[in-house]
Amino acid sequence: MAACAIRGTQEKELDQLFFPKRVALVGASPDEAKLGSIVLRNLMAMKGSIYPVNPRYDEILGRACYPSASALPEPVDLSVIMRPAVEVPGILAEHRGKARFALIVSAGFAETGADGLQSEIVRIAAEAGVRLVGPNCLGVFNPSHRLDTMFLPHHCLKRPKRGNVAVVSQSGAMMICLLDAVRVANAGVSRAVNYGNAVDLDAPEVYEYLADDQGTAVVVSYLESVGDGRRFLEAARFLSQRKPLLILKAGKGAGGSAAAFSHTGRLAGNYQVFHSLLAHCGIREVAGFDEMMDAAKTVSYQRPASGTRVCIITNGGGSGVLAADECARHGLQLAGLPDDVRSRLKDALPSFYTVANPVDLTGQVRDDDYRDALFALRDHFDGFVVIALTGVAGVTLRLADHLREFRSAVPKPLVVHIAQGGVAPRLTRLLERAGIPVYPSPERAVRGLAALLEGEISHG
Amino acid sequence: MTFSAHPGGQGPCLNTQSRDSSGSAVSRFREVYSYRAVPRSRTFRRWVFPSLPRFPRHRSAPRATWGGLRFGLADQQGAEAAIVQLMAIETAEGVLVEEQAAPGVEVIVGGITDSQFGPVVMFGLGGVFVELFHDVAFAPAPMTRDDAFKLMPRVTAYRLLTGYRGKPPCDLDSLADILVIISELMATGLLEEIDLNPVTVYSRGALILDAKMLVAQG
Repeated sequence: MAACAIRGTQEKELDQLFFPKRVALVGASPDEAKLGSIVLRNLMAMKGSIYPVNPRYDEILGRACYPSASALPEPVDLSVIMRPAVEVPGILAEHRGKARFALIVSAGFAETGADGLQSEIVRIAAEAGVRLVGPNCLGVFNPSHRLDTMFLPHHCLKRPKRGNVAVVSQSGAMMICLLDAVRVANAGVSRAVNYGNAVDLDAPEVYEYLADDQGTAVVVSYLESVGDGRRFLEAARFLSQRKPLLILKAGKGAGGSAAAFSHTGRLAGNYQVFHSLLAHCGIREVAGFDEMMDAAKTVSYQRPASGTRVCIITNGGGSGVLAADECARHGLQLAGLPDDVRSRLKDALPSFYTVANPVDLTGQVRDDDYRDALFALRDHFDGFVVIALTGVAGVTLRLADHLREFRSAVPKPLVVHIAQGGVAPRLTRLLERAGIPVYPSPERAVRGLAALLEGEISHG
Repeated sequence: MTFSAHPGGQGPCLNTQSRDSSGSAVSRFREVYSYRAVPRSRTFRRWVFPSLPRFPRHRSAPRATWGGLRFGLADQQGAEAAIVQLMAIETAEGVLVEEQAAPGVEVIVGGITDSQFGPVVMFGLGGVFVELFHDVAFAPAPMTRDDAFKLMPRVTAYRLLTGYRGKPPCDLDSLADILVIISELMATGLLEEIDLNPVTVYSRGALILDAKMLVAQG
C-alpha cells in the first residue's frame, strides 16, 4: 500500500484521514461556480475512489452520484461535508457505518455562537461512530497522495510541491498563507491540516501522528488556543523530541486579569502562561510569521546540527555587521579564526580584504574568494553565513557552483543572503535548487541558521 | 505544611508549624485583636525585636500604599506605640506583629489554576516591584525538584540568587523545597491562587514573609 510505503510499517488511525482510499463528498456539485464542484475536481486527482453525494443528481462529472451517505456502496475512509450547518446533524446521522472520518467544511457553529448546534454534531458523531474534523475548516492537503479538500481553485491558489514541511493550523486562512509561504520559500509540503473548531481532531493528535511520519522533517503550527493544555504540552514535547516543531501563537495581547486576587493572578495572562510553559517543556515558540517561515525554510532544506560557532563571509561590511548583530541575539558566537588559517588566507587573498570574522571580501571580490575562504575555514566552525551582494562585477552565477561544491563536501549548515539585483534572482534559484536557502536580508539568513543550530533534537 | 486562614478568609498566613514540618520557615508573628486596649506588656515577652507590626491584609490595596505598615521597631515601647497608631485606622480589625527578617534576596512563589493548563506554579523576582518588572516564569504543577531547578534559571533574577556582585550564593535547595511544596498544594485543586511574596532567600535557608491565597469554591 502506498501509505505504508511512505509512512513506515504500522498503520495509524490518522492514515485514513491523510491517505484515504475512498472519499465521499457530501454537497458535490456539477456547477463550476460552487465550492462543491471545486472540491470534487480537486479530489478527483487523488489515487482512490471518489463518491459524490447529492440527492439532486444521478451523476456528476461522469461519476455515479449518491442521494445520501447511507446510500454509499461501501464505507469510506473520509467523508467531506459541504452543506449548510443546519443540515449537518442529519447528514452525520446518515454516516453510521459509512465513514471513519467526517470532515465538516461548513461554518456556522460555535465560532458564530451556535454552541448548541456544535454540541449536537459532537453527540451525533459519537453515536454514529464517526470521527470529526472541524467544523469550520479547510481540511487536509497531502500532495504525496494528491489529497486536497481545500475549496480554493488551483488558478487562485497555486499549491506547493511535495516536500517535508507539515502545516498544522487552527485557522484556515493561515493554513493557506503558510502553504503559500512554503511554496515561495521553494520548499515543499508533506501534510497539511486545518482543524478549525476542533471538536474532535485537535493539534495534539496530529503532532503525535507527525512525530512518526517519515515524510515530515519539520512541523509549523499556527494556534489561537489549545483545548486541553496538558495534553497539548505532552504531544508538543513528544513531537519536539523527534523533529523541529515551530509554534506560532496568535492572541498574545491579553494580560492577566487586572482584578485578580494575587500578583500571580495578575501576571498569569493566558499567553504568559502558554509561553512560559512551552519554554519549560523545551518546545520552540516563534515570535511571528516571518520568523516561523525563515526557520522552517532552513530546517526543510538542511539537517539540524549542533554548535554555536558561526563564520560570516561577506562582500559588504555593513551587511556582515548586521548579520553579526543578529548572531549575538541568538547566542551564536563569531569565533575568531585560528592563527595559522588566518595567515594562510591573508597570503592567498588581496591585502585589503579583512581576514577576521566576518571575513570581508569587499566590493572587489571574485567568486573564487568565497570558495577559498569557505574551504579554508570548513573545520573551524559549526555553521556558515555567506553574503553575496550582486551589484559588483565579481559576483556571478559561478558562485552557485562553488557553494554547491562546498555544500556537498561539508555537511554543515550553510545559509546565504543575496541582495542588490542583477544576477540575484537566478543565483537564488540555483542555490535553492541545490538545497542552500537564500534570504533577502542578513538578519533573516542568520535566523534561518539559528533554527538549524538550535534545532538538533536531543533524545533524552 | 499547615495553613491557618485569617478570619474572613482574606488574610495571611502560613502557620508557624511549617517550620517544623517542612523545614522551610515563615517569620514568627503574633496577632493582636483589640480595638481599645493597648496590649499588656507580657504579650511582648517572647517577641523578637526588631519587629514589624502591620495589618492583616483585609484591603485589596497593598498595605504600604495606605500606611498600614510599620517596620524597624527596636523595642517593646516602639511596638506598643505602633499598635496604637495602627488600631486607630478606621476598619482596623487587628494588628499582626511579625519578626523583622534580615535582608536577603526577595523572590515570589505563586500558583494559579489556569483555565487551559490547570494548576501552575509561578516563580520570579519578588517584593513590591513584581508587577513592574514581570520577571517571572511558570511551570506545570505538581513538579519535581528537578523541575524546580529548571524553573529558577528562567528568570533574570536568578543571577541574584547565585552570588551576584560578590554576594554569597543563596540556598537554592530551600527555595526548591518551597516551589515543590507549593506545586503540590496547587495540584490538590484546593486553591485558585496563592502568593508567597516575598520569600526571602539567604545563604542558608529561606523565609516566607507573607502569603495570601484564594481557596477554590465548592
